[in-house]
Amino acid sequence: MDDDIELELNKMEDLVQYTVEKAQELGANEARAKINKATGLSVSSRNTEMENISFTNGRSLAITVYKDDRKGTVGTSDLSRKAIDESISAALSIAKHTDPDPDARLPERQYLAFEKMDFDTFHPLDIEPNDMFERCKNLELKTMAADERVISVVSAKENSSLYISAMATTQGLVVSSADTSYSRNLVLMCGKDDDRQYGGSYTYDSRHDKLWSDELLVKEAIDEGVSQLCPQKIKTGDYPVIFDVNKSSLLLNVLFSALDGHTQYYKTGFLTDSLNKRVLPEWISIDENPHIVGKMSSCYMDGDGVRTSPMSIIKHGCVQNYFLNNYFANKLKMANNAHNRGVSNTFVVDERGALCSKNDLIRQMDRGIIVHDTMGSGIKLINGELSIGASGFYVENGVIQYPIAEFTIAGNFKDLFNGIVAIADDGDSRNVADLGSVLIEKIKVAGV
Amino acid sequence: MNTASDLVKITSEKLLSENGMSVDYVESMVNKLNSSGVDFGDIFFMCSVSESWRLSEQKIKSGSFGIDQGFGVRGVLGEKTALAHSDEINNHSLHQAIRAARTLSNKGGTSDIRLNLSPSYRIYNTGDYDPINSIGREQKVQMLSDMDRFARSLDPRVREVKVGLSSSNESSILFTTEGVTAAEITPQVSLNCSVIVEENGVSESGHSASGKIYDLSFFFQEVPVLPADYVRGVSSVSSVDMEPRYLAIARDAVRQALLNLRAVPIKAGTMPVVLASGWPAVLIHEAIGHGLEADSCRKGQSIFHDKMGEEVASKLCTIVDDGTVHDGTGTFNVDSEGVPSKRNVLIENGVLKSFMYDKLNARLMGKESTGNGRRADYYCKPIPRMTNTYLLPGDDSPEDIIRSLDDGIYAIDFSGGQVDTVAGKFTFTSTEAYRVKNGEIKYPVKDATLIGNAIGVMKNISMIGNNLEFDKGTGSCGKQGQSIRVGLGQPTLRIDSVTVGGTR
Repeated sequence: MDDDIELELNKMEDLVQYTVEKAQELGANEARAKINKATGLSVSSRNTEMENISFTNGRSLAITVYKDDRKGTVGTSDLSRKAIDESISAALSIAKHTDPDPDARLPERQYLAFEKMDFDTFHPLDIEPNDMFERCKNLELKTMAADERVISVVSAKENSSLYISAMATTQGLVVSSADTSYSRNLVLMCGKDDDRQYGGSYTYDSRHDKLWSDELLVKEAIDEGVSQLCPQKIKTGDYPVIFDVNKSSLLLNVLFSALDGHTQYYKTGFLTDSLNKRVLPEWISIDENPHIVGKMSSCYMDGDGVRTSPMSIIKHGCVQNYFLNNYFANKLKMANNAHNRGVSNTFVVDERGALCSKNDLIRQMDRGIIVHDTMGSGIKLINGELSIGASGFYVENGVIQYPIAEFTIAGNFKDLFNGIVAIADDGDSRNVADLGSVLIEKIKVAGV
Repeated sequence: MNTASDLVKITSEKLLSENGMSVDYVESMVNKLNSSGVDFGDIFFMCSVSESWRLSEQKIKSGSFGIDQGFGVRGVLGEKTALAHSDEINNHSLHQAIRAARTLSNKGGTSDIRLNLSPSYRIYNTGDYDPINSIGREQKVQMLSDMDRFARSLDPRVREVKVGLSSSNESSILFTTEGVTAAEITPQVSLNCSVIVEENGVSESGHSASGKIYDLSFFFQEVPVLPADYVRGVSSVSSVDMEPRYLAIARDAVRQALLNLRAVPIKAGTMPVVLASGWPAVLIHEAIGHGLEADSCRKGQSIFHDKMGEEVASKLCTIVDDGTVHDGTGTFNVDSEGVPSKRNVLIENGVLKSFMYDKLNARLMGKESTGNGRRADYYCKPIPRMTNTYLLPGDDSPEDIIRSLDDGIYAIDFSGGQVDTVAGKFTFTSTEAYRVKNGEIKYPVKDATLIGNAIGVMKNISMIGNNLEFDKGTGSCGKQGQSIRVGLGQPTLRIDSVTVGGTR
């Protein structure tokens, strides 16, 4: 790590430490302070000219104080000592007006992440805006030359960011970290007759040299746009369905939301009290490993400062753990598993053996639909009901026949989860969850 | 009442003087930006102060307070935009940002701009309110506790009540390379209530919210008590029984939750649909509004880009976007580029008349800005956005429109929608809808999802009511990562045929 960053991290550690000490001095029983700072550069091109160049520089300090079982929080972007002192006073004043809640407190010291782990996600690089622009321009040129059905490149974009954060608590935890993030993004528009469809691709990594090549980006974006040209409508009815790899994460997101400590405690999900109960076919297991080197979604502690560890989420279709942060672990009287954060790297395992290929999955479905994209917000966690717009492909005789659009899919996630027949091995390494396309027995489709 | 000059004075004091900066220095930086040869550019300072309170499990669980401030510098040359921002408001940071924004051009320009510090644009938001301190903290937490108790008292099936109260005050001041100075102060309040009910092991939720550019006294205003079986646009309301708005919000959340308990799954298919007045205008917003924003039209990414002067909706439809609506959720004095807010007719009697322009797209398309250049925060660039978008009233009575349904759906509330402007597709899902047979409301249905093609559906509008109504002040719209407040409105209307998704 270079000297400038070390210096910056030390400065931020001093500031959060000052904040929690000052909070105690001003009357807090406990306190936590967090600083996040982001600096970055983003460049995009259009028609081979630079379209946008954006320099980012932002930071924020969040202070949480606990006094007599009451909690107050304050956020400020002014990091002067005067502003910090005033913010602490404001947080204490707010706390006075909340009701006592003994479960709202800092985690027990034994759970805290005093030992830091390095996942190799800090790779700073001095990048010139002009070089970023040249790469965007080349990506555009290659896209336009690749296929005559490409009408225009909507956006070719490159981004470079540096994130620094520091956290301190009154229990003596003082930690900081620095991460880099690079990304490239391509969106194009394809056309045939009067129809227009978008296609897109993206790549991101903490190392710039690990980003996808132009060729990969162009191919993925064109494949997506062209394959959806001139969609037809589909008749209303029940169909077997494949959630394409880029949409299968929807199933996991709903499952994980239903297993979240907040949902469980307030009983606002359709899988309430499902610990050790079967919610998926018994051949499916899901594990989380937040400690994978090189993965940007890896983390050694959560937002409460609690150290993370690998965890089983589903074993043979049965729920093994909820996602619990400190507060809901206290509320539910269960062990804290460091989930004051998003779910990290997850792996879906077919306990019957190897996953099948995407083509095998389509052949197995024989006749049905593939959902490639969804629209709208018709998911109700409380009862698991789903009713959203969709587009994708119609399959007959085990082969994709044509693209389809302007239909809705509807059902209940309990049935959809139970109806999972097979999973393909086309998982996308860019996704946090390693889950490929998913074949489900039946879904209700409204079309024409 | 504040004038435009007053607003400039108040915001420059708050955002510049209090941070040790002067207007003279900002003027010198505007000139430095312009001297690089940009077509135009601006410096935008903003400060947002907010406070919120949350209740759940009959307890005030948390309170929070935040201050976020910073500035953004933008330079535009042709189609190119450079943006640099910082949350440290001082001379050094501004100088650094100007240097970054100057990377766009080095062709040279003038440096004789004199800022007009006494603008005279018309004021629609006076900024005269103090949303955070309009009532004391004791009164705020009392209001939340009262809502909880009230909701629980309405029905024994109420299992949990969550209430959130937010108030914020946003001040901004803009300096442009045309010498324009514009300021805005936006005091805003919002209150939301979620209720979970349970019957025979089945849980359902209901949600209600209201907000306004005003202060917290808004929630204490008296409004009519609505009956438990109230169906908006159908049921009559007594003008005698009144209650404060904060209790009415709790009552509405309970009503919604109980309604969901007895709502039945809808049979999927194609059918006529009547949309209630007010919030269902999210259809207009999604299906039409987004496609008429000039950026997507200029780039050929909207189904409407080559349809100017053509019929794109039923002849009954006239749609306007109007940033000057009295008390509108999307109302402001000047947009984020210093252009005064305007009323723009987008579609007149079904014919496409105008797109919504910001300065950049107007310049490239040979038009004038329509006052639609908006940014969500100091670190965002202005892009064409809607203000208050609404369908003008027609001649039919709302009752006649509902009665015209032989077999269809009457949809009153939606959870939000989504649109694909390039293909003109849209979708949105109802949170309150009823099955109608032979012109009569039969029973509530759940999760009806409407999907279709914008132009196709708009041409299918066959009746428009005489009852224009606007949203309840909580509308926000996301685009390119920027979330801004918008207003929307419409009268009751009938669409002859829409694909409706459902689980049955």
